[in-house]
Amino acid sequence: MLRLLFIVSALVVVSLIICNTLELRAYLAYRRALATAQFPSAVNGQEARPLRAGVSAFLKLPRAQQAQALSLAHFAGAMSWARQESHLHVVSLLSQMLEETADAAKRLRLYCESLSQLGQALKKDKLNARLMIRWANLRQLLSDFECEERFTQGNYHSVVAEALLLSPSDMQVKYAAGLILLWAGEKTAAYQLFKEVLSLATYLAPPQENFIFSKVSDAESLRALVPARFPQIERFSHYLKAGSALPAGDAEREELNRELSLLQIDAIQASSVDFESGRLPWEVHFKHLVSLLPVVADERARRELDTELSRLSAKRGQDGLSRYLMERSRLQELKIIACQSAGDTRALKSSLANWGLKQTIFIDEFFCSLGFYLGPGQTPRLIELHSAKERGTHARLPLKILYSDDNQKWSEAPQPLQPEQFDLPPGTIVVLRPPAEYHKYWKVHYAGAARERTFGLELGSGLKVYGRSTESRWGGK
Amino acid sequence: MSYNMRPAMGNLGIAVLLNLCFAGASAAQSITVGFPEWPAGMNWLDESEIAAQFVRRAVTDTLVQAADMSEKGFRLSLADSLEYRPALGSWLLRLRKGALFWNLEPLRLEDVLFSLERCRGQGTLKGVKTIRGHNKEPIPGLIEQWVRIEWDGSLSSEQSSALPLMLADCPILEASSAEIFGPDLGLGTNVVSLGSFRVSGFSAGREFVLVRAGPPFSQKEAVESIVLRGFKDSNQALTALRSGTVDAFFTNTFEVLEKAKKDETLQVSRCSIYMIVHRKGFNISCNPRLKPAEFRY
Repeated sequence: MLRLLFIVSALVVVSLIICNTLELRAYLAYRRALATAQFPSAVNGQEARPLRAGVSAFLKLPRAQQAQALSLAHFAGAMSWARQESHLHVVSLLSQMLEETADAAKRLRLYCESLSQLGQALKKDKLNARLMIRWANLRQLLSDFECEERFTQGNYHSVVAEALLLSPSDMQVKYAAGLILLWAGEKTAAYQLFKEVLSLATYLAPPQENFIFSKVSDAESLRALVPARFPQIERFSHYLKAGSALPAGDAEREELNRELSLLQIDAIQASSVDFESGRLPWEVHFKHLVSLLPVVADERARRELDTELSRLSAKRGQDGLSRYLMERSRLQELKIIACQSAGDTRALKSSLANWGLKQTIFIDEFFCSLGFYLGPGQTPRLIELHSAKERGTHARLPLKILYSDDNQKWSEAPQPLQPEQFDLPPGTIVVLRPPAEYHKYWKVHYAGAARERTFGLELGSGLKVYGRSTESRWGGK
Repeated sequence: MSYNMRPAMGNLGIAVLLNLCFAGASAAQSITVGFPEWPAGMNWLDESEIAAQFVRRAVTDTLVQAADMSEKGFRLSLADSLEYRPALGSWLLRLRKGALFWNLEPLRLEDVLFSLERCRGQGTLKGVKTIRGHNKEPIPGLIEQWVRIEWDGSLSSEQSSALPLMLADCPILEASSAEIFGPDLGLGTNVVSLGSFRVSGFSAGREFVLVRAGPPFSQKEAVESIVLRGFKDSNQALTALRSGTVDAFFTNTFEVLEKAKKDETLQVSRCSIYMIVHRKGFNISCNPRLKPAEFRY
């Protein structure tokens, strides 16, 4: 009995060896075909990456030898005991041929062949979600076209669903499944998958993230795609601010902005809940909030952000900053257009010009004036100067506030100025309190001949004015 | 029917090259031009006085500029392609790439749409039914900005062919700053535009100071700054011209023109309906409209 068992085992082992040898021989024959085609170095020199070297050499073969090599590779894959790598190797060769073929009928044939090879590979590795996605991708691409080859029939939908079920945490599978469904015109399901990818992926390549962001065209798609959480909401806000995804119409743009504001508020609240429950440290929550400051969507979100930052600062004993942020949260950011007047030695008589420049300037430099125009119905309460430099000491700068209604005759604010200074990453804020009255033109004037150049600010975003607005066109009530 | 041109100031490289070419050709000049009876609260964007027109033409640019008759009456400026489609009753304009406002912000579709709507509201673009903008991507990564101007169907194609000259009277302004300036747009220094000059200072009823906003685009543009000076009347302006405090002044006062004609050091030139008295050797550019950027010695 034992002898019989030994003989059967020996026969199995021998037959396995023979099978493997046959596959190996076929594969080696294929490699030899490449090697003898005057490109031995391409094959022999890169043994560590035989597949890529093989494909590269394959493409350099004359047509007749390409066919021979492909048929040998096919032969290697056709063995019932062939490994799935052999099929994938054939798929790589076919995809290279596809890139060089323009003839529609030939392309269809190559697609069918690739699909069949993927099907055969899948048969040998039934639980491989990435293989399933590759098969589903080709099946969706071929639409209703019926291929004659084996393993080409089936429903890409159910294969995608199975792949997602098998690898729910593989974000590349999820992203690819989203793309397949998007190309199939199933936007809702695709967007759902993209949103999950954005929410859960620990790393997403920038082109993939930008591709998902680029699908945001209105408020509805924004809701469907972008999760209300950090850091995704901050990254999308930056992407939108860069202007890449803005819809053309004013109404659509406003609606999109409103929706973004709601998402930002939800993200702030979610981060706050995580912080309160101890799931998020103070530093991370603070960093989240501060990262949103330059890209805040509208006044509602900005006020929410200021309130939360104020609360958070108080928890760390930063009472001055906390009080200031609370005060700012009750005011509206006013619409201004800024300019600079260098060497403004006749500040009470000179007019402001060169509106809208966005360069970096130094306020503490030889009678520099920083000016702004204020639309009707707006009363300023706080003027903020944002220095990019952290922990500067600017509170003792000899600054004056001047105002005018005709940009020619100027008056100086009567009360002496006591600038306040707060450190708020990434820099420092100097706060001035102007007289609470409406005037069209305002100057913050450095009344000194020194050229300190320590307080640099960006003219476009470094000057902000908060106050009250009575006109609806500025968002006031 | 379509008109195409290569961008006149497509990129910084060309601009710098031109600047280098012309820097040595002629010395930078500063000129002073007089205007009798200058209104005190002049809005130079909206008003029709010659002083307002002068500032407007120096400080702003347009999609199309008026040119002499040999060039079909206009030439392209901020647009680099203009097509008329009679069957659709519409004009198609492509915005020139690389055009910058003098605050270095790029010219965008929304600026052009805002400016054209503003002109339509003021009655400059008569017969225009709708103005729409859209982006095209003929090859990946290359975004083209197009404006489609649809014409009132009841008008003839001859009437619609007048559109380019109407566009030559429609200054292109930066939309975001124009919205903030609101009714004060065009008062004093209140504008962001992309003309040859920018307003660097003013004194109501007395003076406007214009300085060059970028490099000159032809050898004719030798002037670096222009001071516009207001006078009580034409006689006062003539005295200023004779004493050398101004280089030219606009007037339609017959008596002053007669005096100027008798003066051997002075010359009288005509630009459209305006008469200009200036020194001999001082060039007035009017081809066919006023070109302040080309006033020079």
